[in-house]
Amino acid sequence: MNPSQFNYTKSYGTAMYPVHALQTSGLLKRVEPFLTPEQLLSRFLKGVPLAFPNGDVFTSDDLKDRIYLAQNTAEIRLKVTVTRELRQEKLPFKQEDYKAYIHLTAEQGPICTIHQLAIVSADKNNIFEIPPEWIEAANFSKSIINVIPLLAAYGVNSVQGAVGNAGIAFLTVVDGLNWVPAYWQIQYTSGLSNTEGLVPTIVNEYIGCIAAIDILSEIAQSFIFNSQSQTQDGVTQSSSGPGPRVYVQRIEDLTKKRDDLEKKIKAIFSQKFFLGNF
Amino acid sequence: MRLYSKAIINWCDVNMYTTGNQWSIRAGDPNTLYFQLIDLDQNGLRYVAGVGTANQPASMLVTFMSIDQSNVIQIAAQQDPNDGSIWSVPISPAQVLFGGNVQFQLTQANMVRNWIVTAMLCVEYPVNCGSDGQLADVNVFNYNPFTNSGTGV
Repeated sequence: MNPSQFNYTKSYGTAMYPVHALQTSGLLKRVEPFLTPEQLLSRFLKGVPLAFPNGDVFTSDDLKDRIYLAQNTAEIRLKVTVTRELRQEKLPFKQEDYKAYIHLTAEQGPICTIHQLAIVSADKNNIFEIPPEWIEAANFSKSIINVIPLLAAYGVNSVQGAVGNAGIAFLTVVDGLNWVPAYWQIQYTSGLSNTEGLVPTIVNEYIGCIAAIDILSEIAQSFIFNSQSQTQDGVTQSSSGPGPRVYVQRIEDLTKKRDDLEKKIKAIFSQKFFLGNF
Repeated sequence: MRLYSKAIINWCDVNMYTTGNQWSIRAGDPNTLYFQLIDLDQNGLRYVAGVGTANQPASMLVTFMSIDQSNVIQIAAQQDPNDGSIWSVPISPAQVLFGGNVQFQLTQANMVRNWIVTAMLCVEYPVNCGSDGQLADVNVFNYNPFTNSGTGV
C-alpha cells in the first residue's frame, strides 16, 4: 500500500489510549510496542516445553508468526484497527440522525483523524463537503462522528463549504426521504494508537492470550499418553499423567482472561446499546 | 529466488555477530541496523548481491513504513565490503522510525526485487510511555480523494 499525503487532519487532540488523555506523567506505562516473541514467552509460556516428540520445535520465528496471526485475529474479534490506517466508506442518510444535526457511526474504529465528510454521488462527484470546523471529534474514540454547526453563535459568520455539480438536488433529499443507503462519504484514519507501532498494553495482553492458547493447544496434542508402565526382570515402574489434557486448565484460564479483556476493550472503544421494554 | 532479510542484533564484525528475528531499538538513539540477505528458496542460504557484471551495480533501499507519507523513511543500505551478504542501515537520532514491517528493495543492474519482513522492527519510546501521544488538529481539509495518487491498497 502506498502511504497517503497527510498534510491535513482533524482530530480531537487527545491520546487514543488512555482514551481522551491530554497529558500523562509517564509514571505508569500504558502503551508499548507490538508484542515480541520474547515477551510472549516470558508473559504466557513460561515452563512450557516448546518442542514436539518428533523433533519439531517452536522457533522464535514461529512465535513471531503466531503473534502476527493473533494480531489479525484480534482485529476481527475486537472490531478495531490495530495500526492506524486510512479508510473511506459511505454511510446512509437517516432522518433521525439528521435531526441531531449529523450523527454518524463509522464502520471501523476507533477514529484517530477525519479527512473528509461529504455528500458524494455514485459517480464520485463531490456534491457538498461539510466544513471541518463543524465536525465534532470528541466521540471519535467510539467511532462516532457528529456535526454541530453552531459556530455562528460564537461569532463565526460563515464557514466555507463546497457545493458542486448537481449538489442542490442531493441536498433536497433531506426534506422527503427517511433513508438513503449511501449518502455521506467519510475518510478517516482508525487505529488503537496515534503513534504507529505502539498499542495499548491491554491489547498486547489480549493478543498474547490468543497466541498462547493456540500454541498450548498444539503442544498439548503431543502428550499422547495418559499412563505408561515399564517392566524388566520383575521390577515395574509406572507413571500416569493428564495426557493431552495437560494444559487444559491453563488454556481455560487464558480463554477466560481473553474474553474478559475483549469485553473491557470493546467497552472502551465501541458503543453499548441497552434494549428493553419500559 | 525469494530474498529475505535476517536481522542481525549483535554486530561486531563479519565473523562475530548474532542473528535474531527483529531489531529492537529506542526512539532517538543513534543506531546502525545490520541485516543479512538470504534466499528462502535455498533453505536460507546467504545471498551476495552484485556478483558478476550482469548484477552490477547493486543497491539496497530500506523503507520504514507509515500511513503518513511525511513519516515514511527510506534509507540506502550499505553493503559490507568483507561479506557481501551483510548490509547496514545507519539511523540518525532525528529519524523517527515506527515499529512493524520493514520493506526492502534490491536493485541489481536493471533487476529490482522487493520484499517485506514481518514485524522486523520494534521501537521503544523511553521518554513518556504513559499514552500514545497526540495528533495535530489543523482543522483544515485540503485533501481531494479523487486526485490523491498516493492512496491505494
